[in-house]
Amino acid sequence: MLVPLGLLGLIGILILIIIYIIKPNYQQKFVSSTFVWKLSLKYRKRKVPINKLRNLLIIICQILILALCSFILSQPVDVYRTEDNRKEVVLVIDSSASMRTVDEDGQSRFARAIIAAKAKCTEIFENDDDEEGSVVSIVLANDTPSYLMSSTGDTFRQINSSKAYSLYTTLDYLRNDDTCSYSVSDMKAAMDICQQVIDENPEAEVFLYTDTSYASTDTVTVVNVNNEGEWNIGILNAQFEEDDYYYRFLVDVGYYAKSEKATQTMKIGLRFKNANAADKESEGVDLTLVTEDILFNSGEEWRLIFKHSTKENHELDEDEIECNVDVMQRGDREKHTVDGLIYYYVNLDELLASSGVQGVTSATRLHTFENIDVFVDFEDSGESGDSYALDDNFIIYGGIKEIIRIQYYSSHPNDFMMAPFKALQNIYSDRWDIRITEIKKGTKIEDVPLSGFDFYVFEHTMPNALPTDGAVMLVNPDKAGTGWGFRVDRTSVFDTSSSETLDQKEVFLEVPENEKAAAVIKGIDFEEYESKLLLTKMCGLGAYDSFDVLMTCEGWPAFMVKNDGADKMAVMSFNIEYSTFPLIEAWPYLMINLFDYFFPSIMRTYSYSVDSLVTMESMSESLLIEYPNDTSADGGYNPEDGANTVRDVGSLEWEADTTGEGNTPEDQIAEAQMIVKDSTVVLKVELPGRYIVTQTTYYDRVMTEGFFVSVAASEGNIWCGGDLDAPIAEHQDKEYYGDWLLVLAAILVGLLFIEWWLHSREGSV
Amino acid sequence: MKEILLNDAFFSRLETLDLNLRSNLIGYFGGKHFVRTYGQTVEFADYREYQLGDDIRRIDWNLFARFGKHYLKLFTDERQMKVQIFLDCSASMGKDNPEKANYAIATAAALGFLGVHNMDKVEFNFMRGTHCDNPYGTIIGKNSFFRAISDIKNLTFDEETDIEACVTSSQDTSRGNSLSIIISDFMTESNWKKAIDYLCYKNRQVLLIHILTPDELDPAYDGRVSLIDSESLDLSDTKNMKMNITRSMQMAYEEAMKDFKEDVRSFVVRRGGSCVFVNTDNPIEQVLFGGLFKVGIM
Repeated sequence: MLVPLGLLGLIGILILIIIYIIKPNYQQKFVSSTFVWKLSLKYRKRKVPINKLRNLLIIICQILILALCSFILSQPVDVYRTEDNRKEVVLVIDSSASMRTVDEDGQSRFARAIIAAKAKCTEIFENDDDEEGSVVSIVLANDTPSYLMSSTGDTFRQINSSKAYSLYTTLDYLRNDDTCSYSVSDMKAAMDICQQVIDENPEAEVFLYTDTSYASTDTVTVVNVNNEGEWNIGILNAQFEEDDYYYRFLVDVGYYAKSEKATQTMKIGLRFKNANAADKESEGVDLTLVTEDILFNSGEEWRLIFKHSTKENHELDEDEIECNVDVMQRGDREKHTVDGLIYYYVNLDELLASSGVQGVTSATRLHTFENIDVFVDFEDSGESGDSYALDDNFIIYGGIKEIIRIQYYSSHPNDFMMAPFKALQNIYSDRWDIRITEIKKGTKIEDVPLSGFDFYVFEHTMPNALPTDGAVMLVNPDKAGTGWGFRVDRTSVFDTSSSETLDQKEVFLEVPENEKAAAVIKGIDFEEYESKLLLTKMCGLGAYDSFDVLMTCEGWPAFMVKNDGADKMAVMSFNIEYSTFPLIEAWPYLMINLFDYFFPSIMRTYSYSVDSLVTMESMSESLLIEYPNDTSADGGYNPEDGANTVRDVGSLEWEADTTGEGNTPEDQIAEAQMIVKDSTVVLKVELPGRYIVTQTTYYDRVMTEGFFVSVAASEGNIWCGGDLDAPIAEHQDKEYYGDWLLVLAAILVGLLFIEWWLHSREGSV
Repeated sequence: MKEILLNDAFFSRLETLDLNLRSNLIGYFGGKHFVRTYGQTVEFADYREYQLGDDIRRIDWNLFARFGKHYLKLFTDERQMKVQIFLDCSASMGKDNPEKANYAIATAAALGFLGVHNMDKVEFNFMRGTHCDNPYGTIIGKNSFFRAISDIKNLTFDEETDIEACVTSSQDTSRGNSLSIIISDFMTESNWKKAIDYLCYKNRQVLLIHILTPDELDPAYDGRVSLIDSESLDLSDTKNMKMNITRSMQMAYEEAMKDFKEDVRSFVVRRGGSCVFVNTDNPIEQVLFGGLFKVGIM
């Protein structure tokens, strides 16, 4: 049988023959003389020595054409993949947080998925009657889907029955150790992996073990591992807001069950710790407030608004919830027209009155708290719990602020110094409880306290010794003691003996190499005329090598800082009353920046979701981070490679490298997935729950902050559905090899053309 | 064709022309060509002092009256010239191309007429093979000329011509008294340059009329052709060629033709002769009133 490729070869030979057949004959032409033609041949031979080469090229062309024809007859192909006749199955196991949902027997969906996958593997391997064997690939679909790996590093990609034991062991390990993730699975990425498999083998089968109600497709068989009796009522989010100088609390609750008609009566509670404490160092009361029974319908998401009553009829303002209601009484519910949430008003006063705590009445107003544990009260509701426990609690932090005490002493007190401190009180009211103590005018410097404050400001008259704790700011110092890090060389660098008007000296900014010190002058610009800092009086400082100089005047340091652990100091060498500093906006900026330089906030927010990066600023040599105590995962799926080491660590401690001998923080906490730069710590949180960050400042003051890491709210909907971006199989062509037909045909045509062209030039010799 | 060219109107136009000989003419008989020697014509040439033996009748007495010395008046001299016309009668000149033959004959006739018109002696030498035919002998006077050319139309062109042999074997042995004109296409393997040298040796002024047809100047044919030379004996003759005429081949031909023409012209010019290139596509008047004027022969 003549195949197309062979036909092409024959056509090539025929064309070659035809070229010779149709080669034009010589026509006779009578001319008077060929004398000049013979002369012209000499010219041509002299100028075109390629004539001999042309004959050679013709022969080479003919050889190549014949060789190519023979080559085409042999049907050459470029085999880029051998045909895979093996049966291939890809098992995708959803590892999202919702797969941690457990049934009445305590078995999680993830465990059921593992069991089902293992059963599928067993079925494939035991019924493997194919000579070439069946292969199985396991894809774990978490936030970064990948092929499953064993503890020894084997990748379960296209494995056959010879590795069945290793696979079963690993699957058992996964199921028993409950290594399901707490994050949202990236199902699209998982399907992309499957697409790669199907691209190579369109006959491959994909089985997806998941709890999301996907529809099966031509390529993917969805195995739903849900159990009908599973239900979940969870705290999706919780936050507090200021309301008439008090707090109100917004709690988002969702209820999910298989049946859309299912209902559930449940109480939601708020467990306050140290409520209404005067400050962080005082003790408040512990309160537990529980709502009345609320009837939730399946699929509904509620926003419970815990609020003190400000009006007799407990009316909620329309603008507060942007809800189309005129009046909401206690227990009223309205569905929001925008976000679809059902707004539900809970009278906080009534809950306080019924709390049973002594001294707490309906008139009590909540203004501080250490933290609030928002929980689903199964016990009072008569339930033992729902199927998905990860969102049963939500902890709110940030209700109470650390105290920063500032002491201001001046032999000539002025409002210029006090103004920025008072501004700081307002600006940082949500982060710090700033308390300012101004020493009375006329108090002797010896009587000024040198301890018990976080920030000391001395102006004009300096103490004999520096305070033992806290940061110090010295303004226009008249002297410097031993160990202060600088020296007062001249009490006045400008000539003040003349009665004439003093010249105003301009102050210029200096940018130090230390980035954090440079941040103190961030946003300050003296270049503009209105912002020029001019002065007439300043003292001359010397031997200030340990400081970062930020401003200079006539070559003298005007403002300098240092922050060397416990040694936090700022020195302003000029008299602010004899300068334009209080008149320009740079003055408050400088003090705010200086405050941030000495007192950085550990963190700015107190609520994160799983897999977030938490940035913390340390004010001490060490930072102790307590992780959620996850007793259910004491080993982790693969402890050998350290991938999930975070689960094994109850707490981590970061220490600053004070020795300079390689004791780097990175070495100490490398396995905790923390990034440390200077005193900034970045932690990737992979576990939901409460995190406690504790540090002992350089002045032995213990500061504790907490934050809460929650699972994604979307995972709480354990009966959700979705559209699967399933891979597409293209069955039309099984091209496992690249045909050279087009390439060879093009070369053949090219050679034939060259052959024809060379022949057309033949005879001109 | 021959009749058309050689008619009365053609010859009457030539009567206004005259052949010019640049070299010094040595002749015995009087004619119309000035020579460098002084003679007895009426045209004043110069003065010189009287010497013993001079005819006293030639003394200019007016000068004697003014200067007190005897001076003779000298007058120019005129001699008769001999015009030798060598016509190439090879096959390439007209066997397959009568137009070229007519053109060559007409040119020869015209030049011959100019000769007899100026009272010069004219010889027609038809070069054929290795010898010259001089059927009309020396022609003096128009009557003899017209008798001679009445037979010239029967001239045939065939075989090859060895110009060198023909010229050197011509019977005329005179020196310095003639203008030798060779009319040919010079497409010959023979060494025609020796013929030129021979004529120069004979102290004759040489004029070459190089006749080519348009088809020879710019061949209109191309492709795979077998060129049959008109002088070839048969198809197997080595003069014949098989070739594929391409654009590059045509360019080579053009260059070869250009060099060929330049070779002919430069060779004769270097020896004091003249060369006129003639394209048979142009009117013969253009040759006579244009080309010959340019080279100073006319």
